[in-house]
Amino acid sequence: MEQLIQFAISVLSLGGTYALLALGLATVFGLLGFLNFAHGDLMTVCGYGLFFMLAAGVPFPVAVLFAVALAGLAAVAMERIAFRPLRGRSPMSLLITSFAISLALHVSFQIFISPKSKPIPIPSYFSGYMTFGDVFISKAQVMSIIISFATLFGLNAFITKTRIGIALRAAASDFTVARSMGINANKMIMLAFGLSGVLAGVAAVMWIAQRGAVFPAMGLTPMVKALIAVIIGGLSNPKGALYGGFLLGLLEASFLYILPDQYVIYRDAAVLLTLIAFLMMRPNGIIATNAEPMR
Amino acid sequence: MAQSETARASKFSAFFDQRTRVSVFSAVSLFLLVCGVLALIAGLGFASERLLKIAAINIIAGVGLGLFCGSTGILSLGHVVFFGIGAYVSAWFTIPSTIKPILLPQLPAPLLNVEWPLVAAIVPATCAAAIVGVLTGFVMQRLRETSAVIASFGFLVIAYLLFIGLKPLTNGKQSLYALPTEQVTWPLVLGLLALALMIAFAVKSSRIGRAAESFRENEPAARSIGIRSERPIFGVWVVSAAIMGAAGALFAHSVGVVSPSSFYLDKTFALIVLVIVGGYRSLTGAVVGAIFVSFAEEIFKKTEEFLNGYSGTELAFGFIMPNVFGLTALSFSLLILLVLYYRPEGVAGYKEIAAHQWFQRLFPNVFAEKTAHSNKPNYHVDETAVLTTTNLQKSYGAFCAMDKINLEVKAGQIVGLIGPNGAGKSTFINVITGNLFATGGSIQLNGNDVTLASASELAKIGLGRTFQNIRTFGAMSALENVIAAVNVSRPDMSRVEAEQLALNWLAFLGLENKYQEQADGLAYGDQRRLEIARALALEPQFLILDEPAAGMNDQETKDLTDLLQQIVQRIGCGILLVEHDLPMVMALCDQIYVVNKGEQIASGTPQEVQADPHVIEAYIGEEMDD
Repeated sequence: MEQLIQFAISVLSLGGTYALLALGLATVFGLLGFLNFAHGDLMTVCGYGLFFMLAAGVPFPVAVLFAVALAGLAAVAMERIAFRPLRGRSPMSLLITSFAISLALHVSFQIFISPKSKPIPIPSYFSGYMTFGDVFISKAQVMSIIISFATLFGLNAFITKTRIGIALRAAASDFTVARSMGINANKMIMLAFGLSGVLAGVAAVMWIAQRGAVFPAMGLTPMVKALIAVIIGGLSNPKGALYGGFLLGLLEASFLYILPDQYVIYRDAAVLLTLIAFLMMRPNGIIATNAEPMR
Repeated sequence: MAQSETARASKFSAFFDQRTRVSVFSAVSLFLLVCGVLALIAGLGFASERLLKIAAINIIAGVGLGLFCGSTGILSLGHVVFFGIGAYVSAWFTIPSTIKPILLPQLPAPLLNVEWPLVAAIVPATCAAAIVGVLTGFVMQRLRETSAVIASFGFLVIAYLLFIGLKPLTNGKQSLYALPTEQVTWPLVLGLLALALMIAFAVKSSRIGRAAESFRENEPAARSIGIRSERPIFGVWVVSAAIMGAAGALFAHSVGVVSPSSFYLDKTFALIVLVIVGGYRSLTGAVVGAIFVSFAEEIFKKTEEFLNGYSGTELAFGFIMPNVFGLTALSFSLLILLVLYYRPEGVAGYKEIAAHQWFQRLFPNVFAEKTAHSNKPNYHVDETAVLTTTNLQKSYGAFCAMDKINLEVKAGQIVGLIGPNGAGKSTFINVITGNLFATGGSIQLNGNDVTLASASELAKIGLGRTFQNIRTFGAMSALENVIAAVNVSRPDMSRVEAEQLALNWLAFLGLENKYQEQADGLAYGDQRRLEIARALALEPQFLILDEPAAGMNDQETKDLTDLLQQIVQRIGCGILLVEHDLPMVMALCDQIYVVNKGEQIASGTPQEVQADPHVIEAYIGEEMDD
């Protein structure tokens, strides 16, 4: 029973983090048709924001807000500087561009900050364990479940209740039609990038809270998994990103339990391999439009 | 042209088709170009011999990656995996047997004692890369566009984790060393480069390579002429993996060390830069890009060393020069952005070097113009051929898009299918061409049930089609568009014969003089004809035309009408015409079926249909409402 609860908590906390990342990727994909390889670096940006704010003596909650906002701004800036000049080019060009940006950011962090990892002090309500009877539960995991679900509900309210959120949803489902209805394309794209940056930032906070450090390539591993999760979920529907994220969480938690300690190094490889094998059976993801539509 | 020249020219074209000639000349001139550049730089003393060898090896890798990306249009971020596998596997065989037990004590005993020369070790390295290529190829062949890119990236990450994790085989992060570097000789490097170029061009000009290109240009059109995209993608993937494996073996031995980090993001990025800067569509682009990247990399490194001479000193306003070490990656990122902004097709463009006119003018005998031998169709359809649908139905859940369609097309007939917008015509055409599957009823071709046959199967057993929105293979020449179909209908034909037959088809459609033009550069009417030529080259018993007159003016429509009558007269095939243009259908068709709201409401001769009150109500009536 204790094990089951611990397992469920691992699944939900990992899944929640991946779902936020995957949703951010899917939001931009919905509008521009490409998956942003630099998405993971937005996490790293958030991490460094957090590091510098804390180093300057800002209290943790304020630093978190600032860092998340910074990730959002970084995403918007990325769009303005690098992607906007390429508007209308093939998704493949945009994808390659994002790959280049990711590497450039990566190197910049190494040169201008440090190639080594920077420690981030995590406050006590975010670290350590608490007990419920016989069950030990990591506070970071509980916090990350709370935060990710709060973010998901907030996001849902935003895209279903607010005018601009509904516009974004319309744009993501059919950008051409949405534009012909008078929805401002630039504004929507900026919003999508900003939103994806904020989601990446929130995910980064939860990621860092469990690891306590930030380094130049921090965003890479979670992003790779989130990228595959998005495809597993199905690119045609943003709900797919949610499913993909939680499926990924389930897989990763399971491998953590199944694989003996000495094989833990293979966990990520096993997770990725399973996801790719899944992709082989359902190339269009969990939520796939039936058959192949004639365009 | 003088008599003897014509004779010589025809001799060349009698033995080799155009694609082969272009490939051979491209391969040879690229090889000479590489040798020339290497010799020039060596002569000027700009770079060490080791650097030049690494540059040549990068070119081999570029050819490997360029072959896959160019042929399929899919960017692979996973090719470094094969490069790494080649490096590790070759190292197992070449590391001196005195050192091997220290580095890899758990290696299987037979491997521990061997000490092969590099030349021999390249063989297992290439094979290992090809085997992993086969395993990963099963995934790649199913994926498209973004999914394919991400999956290949997934492979990269998995391989990196395994290179670190499988310590008994790779020594993990401690890396393998003591590889015999002196064995990387010029004859070996250049020999493998020549071999890689030959293989890559051979694959490109083979049927598999052409099929992959048609898939890249337009997948639905490729399926409509019987090309299934899985096999070509798989084939090209495996061959390019093998080339990468050989390059990896050479690379490891020219550096002397094999460590996991050499086969990860930086190397992947260098390869991407190479194909993008050079031009990912052509092998010429890959070679040019590889030459460029190799030397740019060295220049950046030199600059970095120069800048680091100042590191730690204060420049101005208290800004201290940081230790610079990622200049190469930064510059390459910038370079990629610049190329994508200003020249997305890459420095060398889409065409192979020998496909350019300036090149072909240098060898007028080899690249002489071709002429069609005949403008008559080469087959005739049996009079008994018949295509029927019985109660054909397609529904999505409770919604019925089309129901109870009973239709018959006989050889030599032109049959029209008409109906107002939303009548179910598109659904019908998608079902009968195998792009959607019926949920009820059946389709019979000469009495055989083909209800559940796929688009590519139908293409092989006698159904040719055109598309409502033109779908030619845009970046391929008119001739190559038709050759792609000839390769399917006449798989045993030699390349020269296939090319000649394709040219004859173009002549039949009056496109003979435009055979070398790129398909998407043709005029609208010519593109329609090209689509018909391509469909006819399948030698179908029935031709299904989806609104062929859409967007045509009166004269073009009249020409089309004449053309269709001629096709039926001379080939004897049946034509099913799905059309909006009522006068054309009335003038042309022997039999007309009318559908409305997913149901068949009338059928008969044009006179009967015109007089049918249901038709007037549904069709003409609605048209007047508009």
